[in-house]
Amino acid sequence: MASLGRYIVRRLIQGLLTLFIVTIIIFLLWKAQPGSPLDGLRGNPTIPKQTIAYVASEYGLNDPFWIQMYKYIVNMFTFQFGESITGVPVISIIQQALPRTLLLFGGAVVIEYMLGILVGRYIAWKRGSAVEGGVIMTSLFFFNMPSFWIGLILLYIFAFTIPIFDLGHFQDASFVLKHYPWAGTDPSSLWFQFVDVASHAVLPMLTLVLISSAGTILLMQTSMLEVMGEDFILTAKAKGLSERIVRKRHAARNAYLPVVTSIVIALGFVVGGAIILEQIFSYFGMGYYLLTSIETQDRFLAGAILFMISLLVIAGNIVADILYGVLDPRVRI
Amino acid sequence: MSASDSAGRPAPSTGQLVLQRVGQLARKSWSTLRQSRLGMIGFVIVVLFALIAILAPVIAPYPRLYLAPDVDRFQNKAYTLDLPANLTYAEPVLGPTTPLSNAAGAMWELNYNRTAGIIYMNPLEYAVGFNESPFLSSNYTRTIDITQYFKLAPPPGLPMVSLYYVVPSTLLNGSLGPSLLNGGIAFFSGQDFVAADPFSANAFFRDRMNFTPTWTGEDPLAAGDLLIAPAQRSSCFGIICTPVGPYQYFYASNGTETVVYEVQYGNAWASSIDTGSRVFSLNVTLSAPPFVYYNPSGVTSADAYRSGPGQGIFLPLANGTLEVADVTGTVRAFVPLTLDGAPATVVGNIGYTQAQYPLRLYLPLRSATASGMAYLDLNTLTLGTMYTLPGTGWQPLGHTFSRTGSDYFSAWYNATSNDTYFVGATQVNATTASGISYQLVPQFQVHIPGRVLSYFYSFEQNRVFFLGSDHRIFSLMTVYSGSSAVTPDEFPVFPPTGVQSIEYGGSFHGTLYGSLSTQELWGVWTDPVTAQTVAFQLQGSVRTPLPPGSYPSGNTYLWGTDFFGGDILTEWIYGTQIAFLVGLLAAFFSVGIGTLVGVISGYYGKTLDTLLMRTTDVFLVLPFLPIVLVLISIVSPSIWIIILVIAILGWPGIARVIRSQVLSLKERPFVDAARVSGASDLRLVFLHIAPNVLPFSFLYMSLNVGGAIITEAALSFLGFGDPTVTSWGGMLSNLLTFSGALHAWWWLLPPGLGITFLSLGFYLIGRGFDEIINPRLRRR
Repeated sequence: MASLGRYIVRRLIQGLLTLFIVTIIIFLLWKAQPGSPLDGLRGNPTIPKQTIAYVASEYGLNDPFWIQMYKYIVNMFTFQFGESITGVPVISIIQQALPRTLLLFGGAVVIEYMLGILVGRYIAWKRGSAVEGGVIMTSLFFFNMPSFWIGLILLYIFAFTIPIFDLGHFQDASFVLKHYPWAGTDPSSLWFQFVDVASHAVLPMLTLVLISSAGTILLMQTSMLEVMGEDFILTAKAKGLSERIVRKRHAARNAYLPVVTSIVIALGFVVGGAIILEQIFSYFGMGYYLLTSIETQDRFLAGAILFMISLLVIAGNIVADILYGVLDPRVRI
Repeated sequence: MSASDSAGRPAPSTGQLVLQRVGQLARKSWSTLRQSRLGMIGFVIVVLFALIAILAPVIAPYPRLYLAPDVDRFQNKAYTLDLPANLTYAEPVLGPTTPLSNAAGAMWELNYNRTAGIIYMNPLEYAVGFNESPFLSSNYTRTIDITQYFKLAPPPGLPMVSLYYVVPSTLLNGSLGPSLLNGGIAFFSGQDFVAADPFSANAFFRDRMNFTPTWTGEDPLAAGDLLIAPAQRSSCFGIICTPVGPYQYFYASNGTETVVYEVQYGNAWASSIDTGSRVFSLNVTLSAPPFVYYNPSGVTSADAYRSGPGQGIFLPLANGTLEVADVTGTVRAFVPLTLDGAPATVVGNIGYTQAQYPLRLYLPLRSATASGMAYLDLNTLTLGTMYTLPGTGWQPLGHTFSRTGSDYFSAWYNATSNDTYFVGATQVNATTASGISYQLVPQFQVHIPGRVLSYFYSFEQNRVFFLGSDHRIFSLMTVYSGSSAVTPDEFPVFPPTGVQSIEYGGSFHGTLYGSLSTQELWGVWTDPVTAQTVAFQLQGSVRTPLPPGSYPSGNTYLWGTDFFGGDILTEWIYGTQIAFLVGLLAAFFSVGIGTLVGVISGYYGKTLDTLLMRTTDVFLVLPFLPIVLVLISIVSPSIWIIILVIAILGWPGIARVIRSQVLSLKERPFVDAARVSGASDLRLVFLHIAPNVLPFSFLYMSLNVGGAIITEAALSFLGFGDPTVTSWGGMLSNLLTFSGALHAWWWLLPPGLGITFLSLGFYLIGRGFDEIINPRLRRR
C-alpha cells in the first residue's frame, strides 16, 4: 500500500500546483475587468479624496503588480476572501451556498452514476435488442439536450401546469405548508425542513440526472462491450462460470474504470450545468451567486466562487484518481 | 501513390500534396460514413438544418427583426353604455375626480344634450384587471337638468353652448376631497355662464352676458387632458398669509365681444372657497378664438399668483395684433403678428405647452401669401416663425399641443386638395451667432385624405389618434423614425358614422399624472344619434406571446410569437444560422488548436511536451462555463468573441488524444522511412503524421460542434449572448426574463428542439465515424 500512499501524495502536489495556476488565471481575470474596485467610492461625491487614497493604500491597490498577485494568491489559499459589495463577508456567503450546491450536485452525481452504470451494463448485455436501441436513442437525445431547456420544460410540466413542485428557491415554507400537508405544520421541525429542502431539490436534481446519465450510460455500454471482447471473459466463460457472475465480477468490474475517470471530466461540466440550473430554479447555491456576482461586478465574490469551484473540481479529480487506483488492480500492486 | 508515378511532371509541392490528402480523406470519410446507419441519420439531420440556414431569407415568413403590429399584440377592448335615447348629444367631456397625484379615484364622463340642457354624468372606474366594463363598476349616475337642478332664478337660457368639467384641487390644508363624488362643472347656456357643484346642486357663480357666445373655452391646463393639478397657494402680506386660488379660467366671445371669468373651486369638501368673478371684458373684433393660459408653475406671487409669464389672456385681434393681458384683466402688451416677416393674423386655436419650461404658445398664422406656425415666448413676449406652408388655403385643426415644450404636434386642413396635413417636430439645441437657441426639426409629416374630424395626442404612447373623415380611427407614431414618411396604423376599434369626435380619456384611476402604463389609457366617443357612449382602450391588454394562429392584421404566425411580437418561426430559422456559425467555427478552431498542440507536443516531445501537457492539464480542470462567463463579462458580448472563447477553452481534450496518436505514429516504419530519406520536420508533420491524425481531429470536431452550440445557447440564455443576433439560446433567455410566459409552449419548445437535433446530428456523424474507423477510440 505504500505505493498507493505515494501516488496520493503525488496527486495532491499536482493538484495544489494546478490550483495555484488556476488562481493566477483568476487573478488575471480579476485584473482584466474594466474599471477599478474604487469606482463605487469615486462616484460618491461625499467621500473625500483622502479617504479614497487611504482605502487604495490599505487594500494594496497601489502595490506593484507582482505584490498584488502574491497577496491575492495568499489570501485565496487562506480563504480570506474579503467582503462582497453588499457588505456581507464572502466566506459567509460561500458557507451558506456551498452545502446547497454540494447537496444538489453530489446527490445528482451519485444517482446519475448508479443509474448510468446499471443501465449501461444491462444494455451492453442485451446487445442488438430493441431495448438497447431505444435506450441508446433516448440517451443520445438527452445527451444533446441543453440542460436549461430540460429544466424549463420540467418547470413547465411539474411546477407550472401541475403544481407539484415550487417554481424555484432553495426553501420556501409557505409552499410546503400549502402543498404538502403531510409534512406537518411546524416549519422548524426536522421532518418539515427535510421535506422543504428535498422538494425544492427534486427538479434541478432530476434535470441533472436526465442530462448526465445519458453520457454515463453510453460510456458504460461501450466500455462493457470492449471488456466483453477480451480474452479473460472468454476464459471465465470457458471455466463454466454463470453469465451473471461473469457479467458482474469479471466484465463490469473492469468496465468501471473509464466510467470512473469520466467523472474527472464530468465534474467540470456538472459545475457548469450547476450555474444554469441554479439560475433557472432560483436555487441559491454557488452557481447562482457566481452569476449574480458577475452581473453586479462583485469582484471579490466572483473570484472567491471561481476559486472554490476550481478547488472542488481539482479535489474531485484527485478523489477520482485515487478511486481509480483502488479499483484498478494494476495500480494496487 | 500518385506522386510516385508522375515521372514526367514536376513533383507536386508539399501544399499540393496536403490538399490532395485532404481530398482523399474527405472521399474516404464519406464512404465510411455511408456504412454507419447512425452516421447517416446524423448527416441527414445536419444537411436539413444547413438547408434551413442557407435558405433562411427565402423561407422565413417575416424579416429577421419583424415584430407583430400593435393590432395583433394588443387586444383593444371597447365598452358601451346606452344613454337615454331620443336626444342628440354633444361630444363627451371627461374629468378626474381627485387631484392628480392621488391614484385613488375615477373619471367622470359628462354627456349633454344642448337643446334640452340635460347633463348625464357617469363614473368610469378602472376595471381592466377584472375584465369588466368601466361603466358598470358603480351606480353614482347623475342626471342634471340645468334649468331646474340648480334652482336658479331666472333659469339659465337655452340652448346650452358648452360644458366644462372643473377639476378638484389640492388645498393648502391638505384636503383632496372624496374620491368619487368630487369635481365641479361650468357651462355656457344661452347668455348665461354658470359654475356649480353638481353633487350639492350649489351654483356658486353665475353671470349673464349681453351676447350669446360662439366661441367658448377654458384655460387648457384645467381641462380634461391636463397633467398639472390646480392647487391652492399661500399669498403673504407681511406676516399675514392667506390661501388663494386655485384658479381656473373660462372665456366666451362672439367675435366682437369677449369676456373672461375666473372661477375658484376647491373640492366637494371645501365649498366655502368656491367663488367666481368676471375679470375681463372687451369689445374688439377678433380674427380667431381668444385664449386663456394659466400654468401654475409659471406664475409669480406678485399679485396673488395672477401675474408672471405662466398666465395670460390672449386676444388675436383682426388688425394683426395679439393683445396680451394678465388674468386680472390688466393689459400687458400688444404684439404685432408676422409670419416670416409678413404681417399676419391668427386663423385658429392657439396652442400651448404643458410643461413649465419653455413657456410657449403656438399661433397658427396666415399672411397674404402663406400659412404657418409661430411661437410666442411668454417670458419675452416675442414671436418666432416655426415653419410655413405654401399658400393660404390651410386651416388649422384643433390645438397645437406640446407636452414637454421640446416636441409639438399640429394638424392643418387644406380644402382645395381636401387633405389633412400632420406636422410633428422636435426641438433641438442649435448654436447661433447670438448663442444657444432652439430650433424645431420636423420629425414627421403625413398627408391624410379628407378632413380629419378630431384628434388627440397620447404622450405616454408617443402617438396621435385621429378620427378620419371616413370614420375610421388611426394612430400615428410621433417618435422620430428616421424617415419623414409615416404610415398611420389603423386602429381595430370602429366608431359608427355618426361619431364626430374622439376624446382622450387618460387613466380611469382618476389620475392623469405621472408615467402611466400605456395599457391604462382610454379614449371615449359618444354617438349623438344612437345615444351610445363607448370607452375604448388606446393600447389595450397585452396578448403576447401569441399562440400559433391568424391574427387581425392578417398575419399568420405558424409557431406563434414571443413577448415582443417577434415571429417564433422566423427567429428559429435565423437561429439556425447562428448555431451553424458558432458550432462549426468554434469546433474548427478548438480542434485546430488541439491538433496543433497535440502534434507539436507528441512530435517534439521532451520539455515542450511536458510544458504543453501540464498546460492542458490545467485547462482540463478549469471549470469551463464559469470561466467563459467571466471572460465574456469582461469583453463586450459579440458572437465572434463567444466563438473565440469557446474555441480557446475547448481544445485540451483533443490535444491529449492527438498527442497519444502522434506518439504511436512517430514510431511507425513509414515515418522512419520518410525521415531516413531526408524529409524535413515540417514535411514529416504535415505530409506523414497530420493526414493520419486528421480523422481523429475530424471525429472530435463533429463531436465538439454540438458542445459549442449548447455552450453558446447557454451563454445567450444567461444573458451573456450577443444581443444583435437572433440565437436559440437568446430566444429561451427572453422566455425566462418574462417568466410569465412559461405557459408559451410554442416559444419554449422550438429553440430547445433545434439545439437538441442539430447537436444530435453532429454527434451522430461523429459516432458514426467512431464506430467505423476507429473502434479503439471508444476507450476515451
